[in-house]
Amino acid sequence: MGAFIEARALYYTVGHQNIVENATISLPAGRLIIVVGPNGAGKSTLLRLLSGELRPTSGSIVCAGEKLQGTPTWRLARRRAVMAQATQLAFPFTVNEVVRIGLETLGANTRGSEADAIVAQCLRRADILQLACRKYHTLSGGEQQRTHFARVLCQLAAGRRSESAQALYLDEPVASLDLRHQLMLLDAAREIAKSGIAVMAILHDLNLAVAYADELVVMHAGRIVASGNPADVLAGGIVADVFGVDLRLCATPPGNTPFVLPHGHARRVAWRLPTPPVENRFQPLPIQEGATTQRSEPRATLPGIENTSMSFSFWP
Amino acid sequence: MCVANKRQLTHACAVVWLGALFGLVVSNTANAQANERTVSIGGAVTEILYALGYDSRIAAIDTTSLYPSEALKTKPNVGYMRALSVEGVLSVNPSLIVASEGAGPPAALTALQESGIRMVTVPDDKSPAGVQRKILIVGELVGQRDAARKLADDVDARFVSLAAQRARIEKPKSILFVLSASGGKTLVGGRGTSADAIIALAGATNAAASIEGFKPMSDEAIVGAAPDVVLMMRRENASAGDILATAAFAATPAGKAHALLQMDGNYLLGFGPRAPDAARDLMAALYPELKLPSPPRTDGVDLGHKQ
Amino acid sequence: MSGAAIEADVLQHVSGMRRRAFLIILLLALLSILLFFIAIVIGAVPIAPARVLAILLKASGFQGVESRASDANVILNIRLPRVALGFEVGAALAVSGALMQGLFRNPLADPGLIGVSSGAGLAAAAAIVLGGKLAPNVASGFALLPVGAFLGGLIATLLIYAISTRDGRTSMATMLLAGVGVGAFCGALTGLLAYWSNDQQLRDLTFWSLGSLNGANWSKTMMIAPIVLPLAVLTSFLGRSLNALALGEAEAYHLGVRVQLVKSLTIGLVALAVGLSVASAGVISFIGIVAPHAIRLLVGPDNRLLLPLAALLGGALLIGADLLARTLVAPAELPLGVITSAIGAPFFLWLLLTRSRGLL
Repeated sequence: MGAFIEARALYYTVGHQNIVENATISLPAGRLIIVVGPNGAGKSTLLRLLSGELRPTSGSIVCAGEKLQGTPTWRLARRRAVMAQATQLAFPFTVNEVVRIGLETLGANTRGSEADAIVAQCLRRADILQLACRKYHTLSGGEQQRTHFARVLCQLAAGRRSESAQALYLDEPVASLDLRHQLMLLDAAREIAKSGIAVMAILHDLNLAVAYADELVVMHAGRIVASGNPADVLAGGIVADVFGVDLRLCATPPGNTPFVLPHGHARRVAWRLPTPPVENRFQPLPIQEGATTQRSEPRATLPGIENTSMSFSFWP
Repeated sequence: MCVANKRQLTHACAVVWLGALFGLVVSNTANAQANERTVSIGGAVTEILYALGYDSRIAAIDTTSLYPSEALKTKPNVGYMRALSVEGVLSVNPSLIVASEGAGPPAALTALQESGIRMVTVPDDKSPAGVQRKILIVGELVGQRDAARKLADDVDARFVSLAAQRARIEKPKSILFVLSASGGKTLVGGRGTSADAIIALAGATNAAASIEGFKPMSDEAIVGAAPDVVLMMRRENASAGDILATAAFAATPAGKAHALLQMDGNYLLGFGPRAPDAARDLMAALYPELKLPSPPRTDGVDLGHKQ
Repeated sequence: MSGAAIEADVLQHVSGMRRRAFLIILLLALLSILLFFIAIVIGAVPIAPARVLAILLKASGFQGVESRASDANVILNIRLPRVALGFEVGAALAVSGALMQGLFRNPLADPGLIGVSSGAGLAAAAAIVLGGKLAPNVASGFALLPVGAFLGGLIATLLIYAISTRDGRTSMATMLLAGVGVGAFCGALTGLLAYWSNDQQLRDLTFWSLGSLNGANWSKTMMIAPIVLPLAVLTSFLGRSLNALALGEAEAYHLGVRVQLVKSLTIGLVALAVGLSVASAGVISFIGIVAPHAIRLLVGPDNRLLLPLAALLGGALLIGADLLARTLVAPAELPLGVITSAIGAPFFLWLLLTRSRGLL
């Protein structure tokens, strides 16, 4: 599959400072690319350049065969959906109405029950179907973030009718989510990528990034310092320099999925068992054959969400 | 339980309120069903019509028609003369509209003329000749030419005798007409106003002659103008005497002598048939030494603390 | 609850909301028609409803009972254009309010924020105070006030737009502040004109700024018509765009909304609509805030419903207010702005108290 978007030698300069410097990146269709880096490395700016929101100071971006700058706004909206870090809402819309905005603004010809079906499916996928009739501003931060995830899914579903090449941009999509929903959202991102859409996500949690990425991109001070297979990128040792933290690279069976452990930090925390020892109220889960105590297989499905089977057909 | 009662109460209140509103609307539309013929706009015009004995055929008056007092009490009121309602005027079924100069709004007047009603504007000239002209024009319009002629001659005679008295004045006093003094801002009657005209007729000079129209006058200018007397319109609240206590006025000859005159506003400034009487009363209050012959009218001058 | 049950529940709720919205649309349309007819029947001149009907039918071509010419004149040339004008102005003000609130992303935004009212007020003051000297021809003097007010409103809006648009991008925050500045400047000049005015002109200015539909005729009513068609045609497009804008300008861009185009279009439409309204009826406040708010409380903030429903409600409100203005103290008349404020405010408070659904 060809690349959805190819950017070459991107520069974004504000005043005299290069927020993004000489970035060359391509987002192939069907792959999940995760960008990591310290705060202020230019990750969000890069995402906004690729989504067309910002105009690069220099460099070229070609999206689905056309120059990005020349693509009209409406066509771009059918090709790509962006989930921003934080979104305000000025009026008391319900969750259902917010999600529908993703569907209806594109002016795509979805009517009546068909539109309802798409919306319902997106709500289910983001696990907020039960909150659909609540007012958006009564939700918690994580639930609001899931609402926007459902909305961008609707946008992609609506655009899918007319565009074959699509992309999904996620800017720190799991920032407010609890563990279960973090995994759920990234599972969904993985499946969306599998269905032929280029997905680019910015994450802070290195372990999550490494577990889900097809390709890991590391940014530092506006430049892309490493990109490629997550294991290779980590093995190169660049991550510790970029973040300025001592990291220990470990690996867990099966599959030797790498994960990192902040090294020196652990020594600063004193762990002490309470005396007398508190009765352990939690029963450990029965350990299955061949697995370790930690559920370290990120590609496994979560129990309880009945629609996340491997053969799930995402698009109606 | 409590909620049900509250809701019932709210509903009851809404019904009562709506009912009252509806009743008001209906009753007013019924009242406007008079059968008279002439609409009189402007205080002077109404006064003249009453003086000509035409009052039975006045269909409606406006808010400035303050004299005689039964006008406002017995006749339908079409509102302020510069904000007339087209349908309101039409509702009294007029055959003639006599409007003082300055009636409006222009769009309403056009609509009334286009409805086929005869409308005549009476010029408002604030002078003895102007008053007479007013009387003659109005009389002509309502077919009372002879009565109007008599009234105009009577008014003329009073103006002439007034002029004769004016000639006897040795030293004219300077008057400051204060329209209002609320909020620290003193609005005075400059030249070209009705106040200026009546002051001149009463044989005095206008202390605010440097200003044109009804405008604010600064405290310093008031002290510089040094009026001998302050003239105001009579108000319901009798606190007008306080104005002389303010710093600006206390420094003037009027303040020092506590010389404050209050007169009924419509009487003083209306320039209707009673205009010469108003001027005469003002003159009598200003110059008691003239010992003017006829007694002052009861609705005339109200003296301040001492004169 | 199982997933399927939740989904069924949600779908049921959504279709219930849709039915409710449909009912409210129907109700509002019926209310507007009813109020329109009541306003034509009731007035200072008493005319029986049957006769009113006869006059209307005769005017639209049906032969019927002969009625007095003066009655026909009152109905067809005075009351009908006035009620029609009232509906148009109310609808224009309400839609402008809804558009402004969507654009500024704030439920308290008012059509006057873009300077139309202050510019129109200044131009009207100039026409009243200086018109006699500059345009002594009486006939043109009548047109001077409305035309001047309209142009004044447009010029003020253009100025504010120019100040707040840089590099092809309009900043709403800057527009708000520019509106404050230009409004203050216009207010100062209006005050100066008020100082120069004589007694009569001052009264005229005061009454104009209180708003009135008095003196309405068919030419005035037709004058507003040019705004109706663009607003009707663009409702769906603007509704969708404003919904997306509620998420923020960046999100709206991502959703395919051409944000600058929507801003310019909205500001232009509002300037036109409010300018024409102020030119024909003076300054009428409250409709632009109350009508959209009430609709939001009833059917929610979806702009595709909000814009047309606010128009209906605004028109109905103004017709009702005008009915009261010209009948409460008949044969005199109260200024319209007084009625809209006196009735609009308690009505709005009542809505808030009984249906507080968490307005942001």
